[in-house]
Amino acid sequence: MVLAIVFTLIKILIIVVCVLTGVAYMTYAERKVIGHMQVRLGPVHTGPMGLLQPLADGLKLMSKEDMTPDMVDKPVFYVAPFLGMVPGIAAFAVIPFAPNIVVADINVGVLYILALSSVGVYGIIMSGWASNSKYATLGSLRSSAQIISYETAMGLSILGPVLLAGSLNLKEITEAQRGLWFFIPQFVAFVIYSISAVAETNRAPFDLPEAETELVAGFHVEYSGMRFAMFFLGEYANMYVVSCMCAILFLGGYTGPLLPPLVWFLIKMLAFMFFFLWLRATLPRLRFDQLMNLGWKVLIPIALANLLITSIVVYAIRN
Amino acid sequence: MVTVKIDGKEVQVAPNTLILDAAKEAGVSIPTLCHDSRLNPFGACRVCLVEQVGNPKLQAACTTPVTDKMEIVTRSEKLSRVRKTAIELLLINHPLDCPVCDKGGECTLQDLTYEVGVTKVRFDAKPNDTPVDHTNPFIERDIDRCVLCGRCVRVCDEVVNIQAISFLNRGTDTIIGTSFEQPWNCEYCGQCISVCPVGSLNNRIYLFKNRPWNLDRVKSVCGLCSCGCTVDIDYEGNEVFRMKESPEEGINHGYMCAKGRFGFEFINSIKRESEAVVKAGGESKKVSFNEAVDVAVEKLKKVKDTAGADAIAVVVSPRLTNEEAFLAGKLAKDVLGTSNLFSTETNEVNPEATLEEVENSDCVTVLNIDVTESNPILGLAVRHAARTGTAPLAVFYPGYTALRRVSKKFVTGTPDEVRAAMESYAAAVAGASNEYSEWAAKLTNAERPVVIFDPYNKADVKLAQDIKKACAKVKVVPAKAKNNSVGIVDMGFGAKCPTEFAQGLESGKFKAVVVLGENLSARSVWTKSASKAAGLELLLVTDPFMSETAAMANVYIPVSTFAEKSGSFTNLEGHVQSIAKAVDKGVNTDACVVSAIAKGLGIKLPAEVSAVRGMIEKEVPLYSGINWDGGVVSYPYVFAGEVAATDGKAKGKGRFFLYPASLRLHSGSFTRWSPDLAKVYGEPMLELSVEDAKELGISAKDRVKVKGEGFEGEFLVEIEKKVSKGCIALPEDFVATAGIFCNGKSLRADIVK
Amino acid sequence: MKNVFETIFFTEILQGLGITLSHMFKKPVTYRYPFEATPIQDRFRGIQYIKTHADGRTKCVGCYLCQKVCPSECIHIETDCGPNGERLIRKYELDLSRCIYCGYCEEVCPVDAIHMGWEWNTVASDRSGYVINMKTLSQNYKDNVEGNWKNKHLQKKLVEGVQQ
Repeated sequence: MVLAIVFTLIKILIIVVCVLTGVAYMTYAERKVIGHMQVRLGPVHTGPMGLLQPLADGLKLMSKEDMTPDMVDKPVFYVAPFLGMVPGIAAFAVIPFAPNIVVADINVGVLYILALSSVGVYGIIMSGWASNSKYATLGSLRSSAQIISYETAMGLSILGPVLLAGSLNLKEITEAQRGLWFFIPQFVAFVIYSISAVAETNRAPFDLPEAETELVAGFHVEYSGMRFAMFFLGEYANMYVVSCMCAILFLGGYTGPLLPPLVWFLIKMLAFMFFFLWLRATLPRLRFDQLMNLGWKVLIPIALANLLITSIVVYAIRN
Repeated sequence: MVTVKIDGKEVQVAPNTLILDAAKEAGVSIPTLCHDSRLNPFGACRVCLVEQVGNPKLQAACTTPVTDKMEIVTRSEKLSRVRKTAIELLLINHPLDCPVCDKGGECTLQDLTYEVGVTKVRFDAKPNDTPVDHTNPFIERDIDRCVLCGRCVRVCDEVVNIQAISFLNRGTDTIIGTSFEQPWNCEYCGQCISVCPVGSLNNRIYLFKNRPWNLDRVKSVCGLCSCGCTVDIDYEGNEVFRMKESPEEGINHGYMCAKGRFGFEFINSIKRESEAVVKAGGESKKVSFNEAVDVAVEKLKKVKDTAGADAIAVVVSPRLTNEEAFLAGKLAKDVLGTSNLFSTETNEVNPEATLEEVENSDCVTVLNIDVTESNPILGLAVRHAARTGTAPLAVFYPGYTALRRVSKKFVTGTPDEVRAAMESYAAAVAGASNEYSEWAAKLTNAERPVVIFDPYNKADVKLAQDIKKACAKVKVVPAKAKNNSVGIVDMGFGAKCPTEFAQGLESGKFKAVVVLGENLSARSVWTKSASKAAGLELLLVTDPFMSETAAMANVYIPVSTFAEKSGSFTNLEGHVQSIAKAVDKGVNTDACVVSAIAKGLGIKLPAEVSAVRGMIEKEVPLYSGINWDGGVVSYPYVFAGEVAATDGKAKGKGRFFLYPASLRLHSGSFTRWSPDLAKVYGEPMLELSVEDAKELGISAKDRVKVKGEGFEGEFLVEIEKKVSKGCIALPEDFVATAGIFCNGKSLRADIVK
Repeated sequence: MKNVFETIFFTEILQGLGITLSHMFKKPVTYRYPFEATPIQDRFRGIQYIKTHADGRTKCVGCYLCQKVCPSECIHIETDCGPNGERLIRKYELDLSRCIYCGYCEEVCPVDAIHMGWEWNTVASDRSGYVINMKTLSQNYKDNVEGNWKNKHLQKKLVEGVQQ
């Protein structure tokens, strides 16, 4: 029993460390990839090819002065960054990286992740509210509206693979794709999921909550140093979560020929991560009304239709 | 009147008008290069050629008079070709060194070249490369750039009448030069510079200092002598770069003298003071303006309380503006309550004839003054009258002056001989029959006779009054010395005799003296008593420079010169003209000083020109409703009562007659701070005739002692052809010579080697 | 019809994604400035230099035309009359912090004295360091001709440019 707990704790520790390192290097990758897409170099000075850049950034953020503006609602202001980051990292508890690498193989993995991603929005709302600043407030309001809108579409699109697999357990969903990855039968759901995932994580072209040109920086404008870094970590962790989900739900998770399952999983996840960066380098930001139109008038009806058709097909096949 | 059609515009002009003037009337502009409306038509450059309809030959607009029904075309294909060729031909020998030429930017030839559109010279350009002539201290002559328009030669001949330069040689070898290629010595009036359309004659004071497009320009009035010439002050930032004529404007018609043109440098002098000095217990301390004023106010209060208002005297310089002099009068009378207002000027004589009347006079007599040096523009007017009119000019002066060339009668000799001659002349005018009867008759028979005299010489004033009494139509010109000599008298500073101030100083009656701009040591009436001023309770001196008097002062405040303030001057004809502020050297005006002292004493006096002018118009009847920019004051009288007869004979004993010499470029007061004027004439020089020099074995630049009754001094010798035998002359307004002429205007002295 | 097709299948977005992806494999155009020089084109307008005669006297005659034409008013000239009556330049100052490197001074110069050089390094620790005078400008000419550059690695390229 004790051994099991210790073993679990070690597993958690390994995953958290890996996630945080991944997040750090995601920022490096982002700058590098976008740089090259813009025919630039990206970071090159810190370490060979700029590889120590995330370390430098981390040191910089940690050594920065932690400023708390006078007019903020202090307790909420302090709690918000943790609420922004913790759900993102906690979600990794149910991700099956490989058949035996999973911290908690629970039956309601999909629900757990959906629930946690909903909690993340509290961090944003709280930070915006507590900051007592018009930019932050506007940013957090946009963010919550956006997350709520797109979570619906995302949830509906996830139901497709769930119906096909007949389970909410992520490992079972992965196993169900041994024959055919779900992104083929559920292509529409896959597209909807991809779009909603980008919107859900507030990434370009749906980065309205942090629109520099309009809102300075959005909900985290009053934060500095490590508190700001926590929002940053949270955002990137969420990107990893949705990428993992995409890999699991549509791309067959760790399944694949020849290579070990963990490598397959990482390839799929990172491919989706690359897609995030690629989008950012390509597309300009949407207007808020366009964003809402897309969410409510396009994605949700299509997702509902997809769900209906999938249910009918699944019902027909099962019976 | 004849009717002429110019470029389709019909215009009515007087017969014999030149086509150029008729075109101006019609509003058509014809390009000119050698033309100057003040000079006789010349027609050298052929740039102003015009077509006359029906005449196959082209006419020069500047020399051809119009005839009735004449039809002129000024712009046509043919004409532009001809003009272009004329310019192209000029450019064959003209070096294209506009970048280094000082005229660049205001050159008529440059403008014309652009106007006619010459971009390439078709001919084989052969610019000469003669070295630049620097023999003249003020005028640079580069004959390579000369286009032989002859304007300089003509102005020197027709206006200045010195004929210093002329055309030399013939044909393509023609150059402008002095006779026999001698060094260029002349009056240095610089009229030739002002008319030169190219960069052949340049002002050496301004040479290469700046470019015309960098300069801001303000039209003002020259503050150096009583002629009141309209000038343009060109400045950049807070530095005056040149003072030049306002073309064809003002009472001077755009002419200027050496002092005005080259003597402005004292404005920029680094020797000028910028901080007030207060002396206490033998120790001088630099203080702020307000502190100096506070000290002065305190002392004035003290003197007024202990010794009474009568122990205070206010002395103003004729350099002040009318407004400042008026304020000084207000300070004395209303604030301090004293009637001791002094200046070197007296109200015995007032102006009468204007310069225009002198120019148009038909008989001019000059009594014992060299107007060409003391008042050069008045001198030009006299020359104009004598040369262009038929006016017979009679001059009485011990020694020849520049007027000799144009005068019909020039009486010279020793001062006593000249005095006797003048007396006979005056008697002849009054009706006596003597050797001058013929000349007296010319004066009495003339319609517009003018007599010019020296108002500072009592004996001359008496003579002038006698002539005026005998012949009422005579208009007199008292040739006052300084720029506002007339104005300060009008403002109340001429009522008391200057000697009264000297007596007051001697007797110790004055305890506090306020001296605005005056240098007591350099004025012959005051120089002897000036040292007494040093021990006064208060000697407040304002001056742009640390003059001899300023050095004695216990409160010294630096003030601005005429280029740094606005106000008005009244010139020798009673013409009130506004001056304009050009630069700011960071010092206060005299008006500010007076206003600050009055404020310290509890009475508010304005320092702004407009406010002061309002007060003057109310309180000075002569100036009520005057036009401050060109109005002429109409004086109620010329001579104030009967002038007492004075013995004008030379005083003392000695072999030589000593008389005040004509000013040479500058007097010893203000313009001595102009380095270039001082370079030419730095210290007072003893003028000696050639014969006497030979006899005494003295050569030029020797130092000799002049000794007479009650005076002695050592001076450099200058041997002058103009000076008569047995006479020596010294300038008056230097500190070194003021002590001599305080004994009288005409003296006898010996030369001790 | 085409429009609907484009909307449904995101063709334009895919096109955009294609472009960014293809750019990713291009060679970056970045010059790593302090470590690596940007190449200077022959017509580059850098810090001015003023030509001198063979004996070292400046070619400038102080005509004030560059001061007049300068749109940013960065040239300040003071001239005077020399001891032999020649035109003497008392002061020739060029404020590099004001200069916009338009090259008008070079265009207007009637005696071919001022030129735009190839040096661009104006870095100085205070503003007065940006005001250069005739001495520096003449030195710049020498440097341009001899190739004494602050940025040594540019030497070859630039000397070739000047010699042409």
